[in-house]
Amino acid sequence: MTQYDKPLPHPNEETRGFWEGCNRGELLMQRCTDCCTFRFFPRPMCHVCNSMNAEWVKVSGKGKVFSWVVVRQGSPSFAGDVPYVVASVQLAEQDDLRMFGNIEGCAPEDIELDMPVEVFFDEVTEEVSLPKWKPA
Amino acid sequence: MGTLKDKVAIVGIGHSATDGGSKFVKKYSKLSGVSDVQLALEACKMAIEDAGLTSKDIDGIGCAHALDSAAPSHQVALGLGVPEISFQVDNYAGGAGSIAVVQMAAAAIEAGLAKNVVCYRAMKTSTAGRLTGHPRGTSISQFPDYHSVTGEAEFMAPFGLDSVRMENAMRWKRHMIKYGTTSEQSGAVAITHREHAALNDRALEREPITMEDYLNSPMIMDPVRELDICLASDGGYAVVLTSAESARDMKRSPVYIMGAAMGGGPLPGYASGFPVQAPEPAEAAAKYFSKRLYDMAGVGPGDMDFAQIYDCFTFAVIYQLEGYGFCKEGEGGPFVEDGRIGLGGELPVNTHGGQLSEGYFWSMNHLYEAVQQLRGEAGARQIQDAEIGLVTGHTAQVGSALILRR
Ligand SMILES: [Zn+2]
Repeated sequence: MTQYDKPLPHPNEETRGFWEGCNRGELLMQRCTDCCTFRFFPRPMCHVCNSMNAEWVKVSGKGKVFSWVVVRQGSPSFAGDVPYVVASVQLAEQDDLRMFGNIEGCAPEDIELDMPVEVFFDEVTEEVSLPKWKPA
Repeated sequence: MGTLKDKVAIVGIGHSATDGGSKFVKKYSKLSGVSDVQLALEACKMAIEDAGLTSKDIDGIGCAHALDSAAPSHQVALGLGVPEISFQVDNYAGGAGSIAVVQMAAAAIEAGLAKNVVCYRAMKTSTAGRLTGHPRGTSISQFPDYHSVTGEAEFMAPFGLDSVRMENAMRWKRHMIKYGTTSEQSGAVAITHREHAALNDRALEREPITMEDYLNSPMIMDPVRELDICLASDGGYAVVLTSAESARDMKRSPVYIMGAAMGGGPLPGYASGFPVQAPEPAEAAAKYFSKRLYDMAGVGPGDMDFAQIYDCFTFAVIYQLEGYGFCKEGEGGPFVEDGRIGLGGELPVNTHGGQLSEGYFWSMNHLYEAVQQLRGEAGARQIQDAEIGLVTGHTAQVGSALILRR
C-alpha cells in the first residue's frame, strides 16, 4: 500500500471523541447537557448558555448540501483527486449545525443546493476513518 | 458615548517601492529578495518622511499580521530607532486586521496614549507559505504541520479544504444561487480593477483584460476563476497618524478620520472565513456595523466620492457594496455592471486596482490610495474634488472600515 500523503487529524482533548466515533462508524456531535444545543467543531463551551457540560451524541448522519465547491486545482497532496467536491453539509439535527466534507458517489455537476446526503466512513489508514458524504 | 470623528488625521503615507517599483515583485515567480521587515521599514520610513517627521518623533507602532508573513512591530520599531514606545499593537488577524489597527491607533491618540503612531502591513505572499499548486491565494498546505492537523483544521484539511479560497468559494456559490449573481458580474469587478491598475504605476498587473479573458481564465475551484483571486505579491504600506490638533502644523494637508467601526455577525468562527454555524455565510460582516460607522461620521453611503473596498476576491467587493449600504442585499451583482464602479462612474471602487491588480497588502494600499485621492495626488486616477471616501478591511465575517475626509 502506498503511503497516505494527505493531511490527517491529530486529535486533541476536545476532538478525540469525534474521531473515535468515526472509527466505530458513528457520527458523533457534541451536545450541551444543560440546554441541549449541538455544536461543531468540538470546543469546550456552549455558545448559547456557556455551560461546559457536554456529551457526545450519535446523530443520524443525514443532512443536506448547504454549499459546495468543485476543486479543479488543488494542493499537491490532492492533485490526483481533482476535480473533487468539498461541501458544507447542514446536519438534520439542528439548523445551524454544519460540517465540511467531501461528496462522493455522484458527478460534481449533479450536486444541487439542499440535496439530501448521508454520511459514510472512509478508512483511509488503519488509525483514521474520515466521515464523507454521498447522495441519500 | 465618545467619538473619533475629526479627532485624528493621517499625515503621512508610504510604501515599499520607494524608487518606482524595484522592490515590488513584478511576476509571481520572482522573489523580492528582501525580508518582510525590510519591506515594512521602507514603507514606514517613507510615511514618516512624508509627514515631515523623523523616527525620533514616533511613539507608537501598530501592524496586523497572520501565520503567513509577519514583520512584527518590535522588530520594525527597533529598525526605525523609535526612542520610546508608548503604544504598540500586533493584531493577529485576517484581512480586516490592518484597518482595525489604524482604528486602535487613532483611539490611542485620542485617549492621550501616544502622539505620532505609524501603522503598517508588510507581506511576502509570493514566497511565504501561501503557495499551493497555484500562485494566488492562501493555503495551509506548505505549513510544516500540514500532514498532521489539530483543532479546527482537523475538520477541513483532511477533506482537501486547505485554502481560504474554498470557504470563500462556498460563500460565493450561495450568493449566486440565492440572488442570481453571475460570473459576468464578478468578471466586471476584475475588469474594472484592471482598468484602474493601468493608470497606476505601483500596480503589478496593468494589462487590460476583457470579459472573454475573465471567462477563459482557469477555473481554480468552481465557481472561482484565477482572475477572481487577489495577487500574490511582496511589499509594504504604512501611514502615520497624529491628533487633528498637531496635524495642523505638519507638512502635508491632513486627511481626517470621520468614522471608524469594526465588527462581525453572530458566531463569526475561524478568522480566515470558516463559516462555522453562521446564519448566512453569504452576508458581509459590514451589515452588522455599517450603521455605527455612518452614524459616527454623520454621513451616508451616498456621500462617498469613492470606496476602496477590501478585495481578496472579486465577489468580496460585491458583498461589501451590499453590507455598506450602496445597494440592497443581493443587488451587489447588478451594481458592479455598466461601469458604475469605474472611474467616472457612480461610485469609483479601488481606483488603484486593489488587491486584484495592484497587490495584496491587507488594504493598507487602499488606505494609501484614499489619502492620495483626498490630497488630490492620484494623477491620472484622480477623482475630481474628492472630499469623502470609504476604506474597508474584510475577512469573510469580520470587517473594519474608516470614513475619511480631506
Ligand atoms: Zn448550552
